[in-house]
Amino acid sequence: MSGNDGRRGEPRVTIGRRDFFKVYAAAGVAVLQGCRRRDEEWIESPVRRSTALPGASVWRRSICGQCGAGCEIEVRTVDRLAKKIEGLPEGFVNAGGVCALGHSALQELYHPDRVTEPMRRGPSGELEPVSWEEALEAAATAIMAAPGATTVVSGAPSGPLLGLWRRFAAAVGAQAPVHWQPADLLVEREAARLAFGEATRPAYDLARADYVLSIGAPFLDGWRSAAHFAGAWAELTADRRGKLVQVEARHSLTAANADDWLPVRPGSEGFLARGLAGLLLESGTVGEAERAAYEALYPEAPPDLAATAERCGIDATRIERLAAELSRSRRPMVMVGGSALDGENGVAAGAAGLALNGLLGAVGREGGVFAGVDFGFEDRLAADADAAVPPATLSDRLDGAGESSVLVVSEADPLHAMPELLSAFEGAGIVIALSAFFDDTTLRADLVLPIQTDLERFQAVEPDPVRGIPALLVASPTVAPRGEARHPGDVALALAAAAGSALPWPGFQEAVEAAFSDAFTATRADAESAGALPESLIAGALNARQFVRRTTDAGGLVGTEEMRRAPARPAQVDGEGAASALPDPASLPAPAAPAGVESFTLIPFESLKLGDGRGANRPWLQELPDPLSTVMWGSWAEMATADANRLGIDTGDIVRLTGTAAEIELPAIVLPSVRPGCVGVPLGGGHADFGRYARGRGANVNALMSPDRQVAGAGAFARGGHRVRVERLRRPRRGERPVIYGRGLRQAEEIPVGWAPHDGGKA
Amino acid sequence: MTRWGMAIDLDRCTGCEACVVACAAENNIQTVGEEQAREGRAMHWLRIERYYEGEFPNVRTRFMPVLCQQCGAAPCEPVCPVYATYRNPEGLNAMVYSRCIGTRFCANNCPYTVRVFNWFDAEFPAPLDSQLNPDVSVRPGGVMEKCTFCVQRIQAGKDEAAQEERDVADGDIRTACQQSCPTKAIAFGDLEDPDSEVSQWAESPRAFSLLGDLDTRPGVVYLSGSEWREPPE
Repeated sequence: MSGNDGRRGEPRVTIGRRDFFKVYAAAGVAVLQGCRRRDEEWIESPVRRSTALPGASVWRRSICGQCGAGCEIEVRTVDRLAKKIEGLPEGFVNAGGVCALGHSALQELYHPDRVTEPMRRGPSGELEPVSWEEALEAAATAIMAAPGATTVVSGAPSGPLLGLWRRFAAAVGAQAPVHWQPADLLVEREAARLAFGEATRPAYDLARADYVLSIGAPFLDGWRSAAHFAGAWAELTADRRGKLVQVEARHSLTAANADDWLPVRPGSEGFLARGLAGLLLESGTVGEAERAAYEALYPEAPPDLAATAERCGIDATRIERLAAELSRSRRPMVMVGGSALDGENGVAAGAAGLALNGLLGAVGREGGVFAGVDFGFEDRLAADADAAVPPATLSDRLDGAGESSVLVVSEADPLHAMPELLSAFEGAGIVIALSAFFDDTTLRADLVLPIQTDLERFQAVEPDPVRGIPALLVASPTVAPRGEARHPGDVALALAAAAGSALPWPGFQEAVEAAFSDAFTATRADAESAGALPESLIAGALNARQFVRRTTDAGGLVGTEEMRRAPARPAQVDGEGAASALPDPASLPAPAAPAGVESFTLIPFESLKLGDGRGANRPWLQELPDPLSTVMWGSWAEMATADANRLGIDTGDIVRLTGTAAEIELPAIVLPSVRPGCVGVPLGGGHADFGRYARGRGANVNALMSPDRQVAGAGAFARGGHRVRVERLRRPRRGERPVIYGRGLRQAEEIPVGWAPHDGGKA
Repeated sequence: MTRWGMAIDLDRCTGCEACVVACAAENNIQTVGEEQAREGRAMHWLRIERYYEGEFPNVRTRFMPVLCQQCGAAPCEPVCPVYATYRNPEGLNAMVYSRCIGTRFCANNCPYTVRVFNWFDAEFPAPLDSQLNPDVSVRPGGVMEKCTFCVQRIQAGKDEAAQEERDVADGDIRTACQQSCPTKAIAFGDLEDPDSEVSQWAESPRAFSLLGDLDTRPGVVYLSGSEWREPPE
């Protein structure tokens, strides 16, 4: 391919296994391993030292930062401009795949409404450009005036950058940072802690299972890594080898691709898991050890089939069939995620779902569930700084905020995600936003510090542990930053220095390299004292500096297959101590509907095009038809045919959804696949700004949620289980009609058959 | 002689639309905005058709990527009064943009409705235009366009093979949609080469042509198979 210099015809140089070095810590857990050496082009600073001819293409390796998954990508650059993103074929997480959101990072980079210079709110109340020096001084002055009243809110995924923010907070005397992360991630970790004894996201060996029960996990809709799980799903279902059953009230893209879809009543997922456990225990296929372990977690008897069917709103025969298929499959597995975790009982439901894996013998087995392990680089950068606190803590912090308080918000938009925080937010003294765009939060900031997008920045990412193998991926910038945008890590370090609490590194990259060096030194010392230093390491006389260089050149550290392991068992299973039983979702009361009002259960969902809203500023994604409703450029409310008929609602009619504190208006889309009594609304609409393609477009479903409803035990706002009233307002006026692509979702009878055997296309 | 063709395994397609965005990025396809999209003027060269069957709760959904079928007997070609669309020697239904006068007869005659018309000049507000692929022209208003099988990638692959004094090997050339597919549901190559991946897929008993009874002789093959079977007892 002409113009693909640096990729085709230049096979990647790899370091063979014999050249790897391994340093085993005394604990035998941490293994550091240099792995692949990739494009030579990548090694030095590619932006300023490229030798490419004008007009020729150079491919740069990078890491997609559109979600926290850590998919590895290649970026085609021409004349130092980014042109195209492809999945890196040997990508640790994605193996060559890249999703729609990942492709659109180019439009984030080159968005016409990017913030590219620091701004400060002037006497007129408007944001005005200032120099970085002025901005940092103003920010530092505010922080130094009230360090104890300073709160950092970081949207960075767990990993080195979050570690750096923790270190920053400790250095300047601020409270532990609030980690603004998806609720289901927090809930999943807590559920895994209860069921498996480890508070990490589990790794699922989807590709090698033969029967997968997914309780709410929308893994084809962008959950964790859409690219990873789509590839694994394709292996699962290749030649009709395996089966996927999706349990979820909404007909998501995952449900649409499942072999079987069980649209249970929202909030009843945990009850189903307990009911299934009862059927499995009755089936006689569960071993004694597995039974004992399960009963240590759940001493109470599971609900019977009739009660389960009643609570879940599903035909009992389907539940029976599911249990029978699970018990006779060779490598069954249960995943939990998404809607199963986002209600107030999310932790209990998640733990009950995960615990089924114990009954099925799927824990630590090929085609089963593994521990989500990492190298712990977040803690290495954080040193002994306090751990970050969950999002729900922000409510309390804001309640106690006074005029002298300072809020530093980096790469997060809490006011879009939880609009009800607005009044509390306005009580904060100074708001400092690190953002690439004017979003709902940035609009209210007193100081706006422009930050680089993924492709402009040095990246050090601990990827989502989807494979159960630890990794730390590193990538240099692929293009020069626009305007005066800086790396958020560099900004944190500059802020600390300006506040008189300088940390020991000049920039984020140096901080990561220092962590590499420390890790190397520590593990080498451990290995030497344990007499386990590999010969290759001694012969190579590798020192810390060489290790850092080799690691960064190679694109990071990747663990080995042998490091994949089963999660630890919770204390109850080993009969240790007086650990209490797990919260039993079967003993929790069913959510009650408000009396006297016909209300619907609201199902807010992340689509794979706009995600949680972060994709809303890209024209490619706005004009991408939703995979199921086919709607472009706006929000919509998915309603069941039966409900719509009863309320006299047609597709396109404008409806009002009224929650406890707010209401939104949006067009209805009537679908045959919606569970009656539910109304689904995508996240990502109703931004106050976020650039010209997102501003004021659609409705923000988050407005219907209250920060008072939280997932018990997880510190996360509960997204599921909210009740809303639905009213038909009118036929759509001009400009209100939803943009439906083509003829929308069509009946199978309309498939243009007349399909004929292919003749090779010969004329 | 080469006959470029594509095979799409519907059993592997999840409808995720990564291919649709990849196609837009590679081929400088403009977005038209909400108002024009509402008028049905979105410009996608590749779309995902979706169909449902059954009634709640036993609903199934099927997805089918539809793009220019690069027909061997293309209904779009003979109706063009200025020969702006023609069949090239390698089986592509090629477009000469500078020759197109915008009669839209070709779109009217395409049974797959895969041709899209530029009702207005494309707009890429700076610096969004920095992303444009320099290997692909931006089409002006009044011109018809459609999938080219990423002809710029085909040409580049041939150039590179020629520089290395060898033939183009199967797998050298990958279309943007194929490359981005996380489930590897798309194969592309020479249908005249019996050993190519696309030819192998086309030999599958699951292979069929879309609207095959129209005898358009498409260069795109679809594969779809049976329902999931019960695991052995």
